[in-house]
Amino acid sequence: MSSKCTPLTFSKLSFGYDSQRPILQGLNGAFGEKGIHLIIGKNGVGKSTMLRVLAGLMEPLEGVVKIGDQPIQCMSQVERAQQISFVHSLPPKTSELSVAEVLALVSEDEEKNRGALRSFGEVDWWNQSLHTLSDGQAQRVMFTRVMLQNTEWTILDEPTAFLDVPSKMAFWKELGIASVNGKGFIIATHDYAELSEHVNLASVHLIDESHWMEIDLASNPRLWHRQMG
Amino acid sequence: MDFAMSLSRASLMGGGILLTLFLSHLIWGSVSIPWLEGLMGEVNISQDHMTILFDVRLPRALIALSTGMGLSCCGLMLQTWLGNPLAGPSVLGVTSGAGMGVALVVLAGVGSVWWGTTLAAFVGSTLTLAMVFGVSHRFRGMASLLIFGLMLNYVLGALITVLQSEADPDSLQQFVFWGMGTFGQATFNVSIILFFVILVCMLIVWKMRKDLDIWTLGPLTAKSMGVNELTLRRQVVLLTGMMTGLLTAICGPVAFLGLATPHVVKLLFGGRSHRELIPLTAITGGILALLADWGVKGVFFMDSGWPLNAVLSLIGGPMVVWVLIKNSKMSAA
Repeated sequence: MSSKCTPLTFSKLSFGYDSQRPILQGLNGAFGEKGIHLIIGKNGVGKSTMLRVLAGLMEPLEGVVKIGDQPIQCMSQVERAQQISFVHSLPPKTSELSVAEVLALVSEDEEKNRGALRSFGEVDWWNQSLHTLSDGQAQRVMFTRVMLQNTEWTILDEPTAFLDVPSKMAFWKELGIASVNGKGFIIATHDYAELSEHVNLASVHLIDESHWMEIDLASNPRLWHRQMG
Repeated sequence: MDFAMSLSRASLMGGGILLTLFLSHLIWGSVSIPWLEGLMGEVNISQDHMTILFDVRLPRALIALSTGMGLSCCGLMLQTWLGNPLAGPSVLGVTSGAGMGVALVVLAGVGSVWWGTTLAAFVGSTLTLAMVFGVSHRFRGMASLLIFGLMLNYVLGALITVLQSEADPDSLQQFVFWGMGTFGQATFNVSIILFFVILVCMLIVWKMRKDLDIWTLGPLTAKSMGVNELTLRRQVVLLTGMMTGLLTAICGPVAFLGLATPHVVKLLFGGRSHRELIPLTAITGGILALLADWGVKGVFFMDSGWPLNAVLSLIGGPMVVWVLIKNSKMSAA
C-alpha cells in the first residue's frame, strides 16, 4: 500500500452553507496514497458537504483543496473531471437516456462499456431508459460511469445505500481491484464494518462536530462507532 | 445501430411532411392562383399573384416554420435544464416577459419600428427567464415552479393592463392585434432575417447536445462529469430569451407550442438523447405550427379560421393534462 498517486490535500478548509456558521472549519489533511480511504461519522455531521467540497462541486467558505500542486478551484470543469469523479448517494433516475447512451457520454467504445457494466452484475437492461431502472441498477450504471471516467481520484457518497447484497459484494470487489491498480477512492459509508472485511483500507478518518481525526487501522471496525461519541 | 436508422428515417419522413405542408401554404390561400394552368402555359401568372406569393404567403409560412422550430427547441431546453416536463416559454412567464417589453415600447408610444419592439421583447424575456432560473432551485417538485410561472404571468399581465389603460387608442389597437398572435404580420425581409437567426440559434443548441444529455443526470453528477453549470445556464437563458423574444415580438404571444412539441416527439419517436430530440423537435414543431396555421387560415370546409392561440390552446391544454396524469402514474408506480 505504499505506492503513490498524486496526493489530494486540503488546508485551512472551512465549509458550510452560511459563512457565519460553517459546519466545520480549519481542517487540514491529506490523502497521500492510492487505495480506499474511508470517512465515517454520524448522520448530519457534514460528510456529504465535505465530499462535495473535495470533489470541487461546491466552493469552500475558506481554504483550498489541491491535487498535487494544483488547487482544484482553479481548474476548469473539464480538467477537474479528468482528475476527480463523484458518485452521489441518490442515483439519477430523472434521465430518460438509456444505459448505453449514458455510458457513451464518457466512453465511445460500446463493447468496453458493456464489459465494464457487467463487472457489477447482469446487464439485461442495457437498452432500457435510466428512469425505468431500480435504484440499485441505476447506481451500478453510475459506478460503471466513474470507472470509465478513469480519474485518479473518485469520491463516493454513501454509494451502497440502495444496493442488494450481491451488488454490494460486486461493488466492493471492483473497488478493491481498481484501488490496487493505482486509483484513489474517498468514500463515506455506514457499511464500514462490512467493507473493511472485504477490502484493504488505506486510511480511516472520523469526522464529528469539531474534529477531523485519523483512526488507527489496527483497531476493530466493530468498535469504530464508539469513537463517534 | 438500428436506432440511428430509425432516427434518419424519422427525420426524413418528418422533413417530407414539413416540406409538403410548407409548400401547401405557398400554393393555397384565400386567393386562388391558377398554378397548374400557369405551368401548362394556358394562362399567365400575374404580377399580383407573384406579390401574394412573395409578400404574403412566403413570409407567413417562414414565420410559422421559424416559430414552430424555435419555440419547440426553447421548450426542450427548458424542460431539460429544469428537469421539469411541464416547462415551456409560455408556462414560465418568458412569453409574458417578452410581451411586457413590447407593451412598454408600443403603448408608451416610443414608436413601433420592428427592431425596437424586438429588442424590448428580447430584454423582457431574458430578464424574466433569469429571474425564473434564479428562484428555480428553491422549489421542490414540478408544481411549485409552474405556479411561480403562473403568478409571474398574472403580475406581468396586470402590469400590461395598467399600461393599456394609459395608452392612446391607436397604439392600444396595435397592441391588441399583436396580442392575439398571428404568423401573418411580417414582411418578406423580416421573415428571412428571423428564419436565419432561428437557424443559427438552433445550430448552437445542437452543439450543446452532449452537455444537455449529461445534465439530465442531475446537477451534481453533470458537474462531476465536466459540465460547466454557469456556462450552460447562460447559454440556455440567452438562447431561449433570444428566440422567444424575437418570435414573440413578431408573432405575438404564442401559447403551448414550446411545451407540447417535445412531448409529441417523445410519444411518437421515443427519442431520448438530444442528438435525436433536437432535430426531431425542430421538425415536429415546424409541422405543428404549419398545421395550426391551416386552422387559422381556415381549412377547405370552414369559411373563416380561428385565432392562432385558440387553435394552439385547444391542442396544448389537453396535452398538459395528459403529461400530468402520465407523470403522476410514473411516480406512483
